[in-house]
Amino acid sequence: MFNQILLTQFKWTRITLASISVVVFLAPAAAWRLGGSLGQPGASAIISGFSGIGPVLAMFAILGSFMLVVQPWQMDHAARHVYALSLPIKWSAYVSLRFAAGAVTLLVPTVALWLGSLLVLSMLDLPETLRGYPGALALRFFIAALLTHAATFLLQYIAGKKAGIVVLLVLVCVALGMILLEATGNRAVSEQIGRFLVEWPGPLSVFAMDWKLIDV
Amino acid sequence: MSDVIRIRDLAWRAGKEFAIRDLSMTVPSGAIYGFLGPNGSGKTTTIRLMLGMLTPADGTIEVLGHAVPKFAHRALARIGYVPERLHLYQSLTVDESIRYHRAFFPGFDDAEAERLRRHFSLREDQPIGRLSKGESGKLMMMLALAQRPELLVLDEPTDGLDPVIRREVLSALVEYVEVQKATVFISSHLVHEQERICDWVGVMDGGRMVAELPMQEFRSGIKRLRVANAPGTMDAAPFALLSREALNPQLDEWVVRGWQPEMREWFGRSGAEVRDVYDLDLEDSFVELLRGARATTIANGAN
Amino acid sequence: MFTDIDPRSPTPIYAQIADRLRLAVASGELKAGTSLPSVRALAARLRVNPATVVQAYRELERDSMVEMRQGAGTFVADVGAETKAHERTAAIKRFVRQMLTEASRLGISPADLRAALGRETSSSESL
Repeated sequence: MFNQILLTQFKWTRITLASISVVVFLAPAAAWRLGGSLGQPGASAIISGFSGIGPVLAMFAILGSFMLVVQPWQMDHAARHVYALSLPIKWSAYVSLRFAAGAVTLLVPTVALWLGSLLVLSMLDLPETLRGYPGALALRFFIAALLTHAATFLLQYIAGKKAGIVVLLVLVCVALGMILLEATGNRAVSEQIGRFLVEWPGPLSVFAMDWKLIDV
Repeated sequence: MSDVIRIRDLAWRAGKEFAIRDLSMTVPSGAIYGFLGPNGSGKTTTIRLMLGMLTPADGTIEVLGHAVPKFAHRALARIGYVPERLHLYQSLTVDESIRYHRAFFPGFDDAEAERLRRHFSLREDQPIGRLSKGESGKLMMMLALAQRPELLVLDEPTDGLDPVIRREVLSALVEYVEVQKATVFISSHLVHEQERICDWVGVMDGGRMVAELPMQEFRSGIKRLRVANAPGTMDAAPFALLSREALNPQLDEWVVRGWQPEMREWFGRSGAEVRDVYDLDLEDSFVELLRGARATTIANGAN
Repeated sequence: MFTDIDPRSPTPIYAQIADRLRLAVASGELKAGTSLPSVRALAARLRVNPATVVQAYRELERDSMVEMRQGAGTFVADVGAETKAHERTAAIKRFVRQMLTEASRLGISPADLRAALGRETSSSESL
């Protein structure tokens, strides 16, 4: 059963997967090019050069995993889920299999990123003070993607429309709150909240966009 | 053998009004059960409830010995389902959809699937979205039959298909039934098709079951009578009067249910006479039955 | 021979099948020893309930028109000339009865029917 669900998932999302994998594979190389690679740059130049990679990867992690949930869901939704409901498998089991299949497909761009990182690192001559963290970067990407995948999944499959609206409202309130705090000069509070959310081990730390391929 | 489908006092609502209420149905093992009813009577909803796709507001459903919807997934492993509209993934090819389907059904017969695919002239590499209505109808039937199920649940399986394909689909169904002795539940408004194949008939109207009996009884039990000097009152009539119409001052036309030849005596006692007895085909019987049922509902409502 | 059955006819389907086969045997269309189609094949061809075909075959067997042999199929029995003639008569009688019922429904009297029949048959003979 899982094989077939995985196969169909691959078939339906292959274009999305391929696009994201290509972008993500090229990201380290592009960051290297754009960040300045004149001869043998100094350590700080290298670090700042690659710093642009974070937001791009995070964006694609989020976008990619979102699409990977929505596209197969659309396939089921087109026929009002009648087919999925008529299969001799509990709905919870079906949803779990779809989730697991989605997670497996996320490995493709993750590996692409890892390979792209390795490739760039092999071409660079890093000074002794710096080290490359290709595995860590790829792992961060995978975790970010998986979290988004899970959140989107919850909204689409389990929670339904009502819960989705509730979550959206909560997020809007939080965002508004933070903006208000900033505007009224209560920096300290908003900064604390921000720090909690975004720094390790806050839930959104992977989205801090502070991903480094090369660091001390 | 025990009943394959047992439904008791089923109720379901969408919104405030009850769309289905007090619905009880029994489908015996090995029967080819025809489910008749006008559009909007709740047939498709009943089928969805039967397969655990909807949760009832009240009542019990038991299919192949399993309580539905709690254990619907266990029953579904032994059920071949053909819904009203194409439910398969349009982006898959015929071949891919066969492979997908078979991963879920333990009894799937690959050789049978191949045989039926050829018999129905379905090309393996054809995307399902490109199939004509007839072809997708054949594909759904093919997948259901290849499962070798004990129970087939078909919702308007031949509706919208051209006569040639309709015959192909029905023939394949009949062959399967003969070989496997499976139970079949067919919901269709094509009454004459139901008439050939079904040995049981269940009539639904307005969210309720109006009649459930063997096909032969249904066909032979409803008659049209030409009655001279018809009695005004109906005390202790041995049959059920579905409708009556005065053709002229001396002659009435009555449609009755449960007619036996000996019942002429009842008329004789009040000075009336049955001039003629006509058979009704299933379509007319069905129409008259509904007319009678609706009149009763109105009468009961008025009380 | 196995032309479509009429689900609308008041005659039960199994009787329609049986009557048609009876006539075929009586007229010599189906010779002794010929095998009839299997229940499965005939039911599929006519798109009727297989039990209906079984019922038809059983009735024919009861009337000694066919023999159902386990595992081998159903075969036309050796039917004597007297039985054949009797069957032919019975088939014609059934046909006429049906015609009379239909005529009565349409308000055509037996006398009118007889006259029309006489006219039609004499004109077709002269063709």
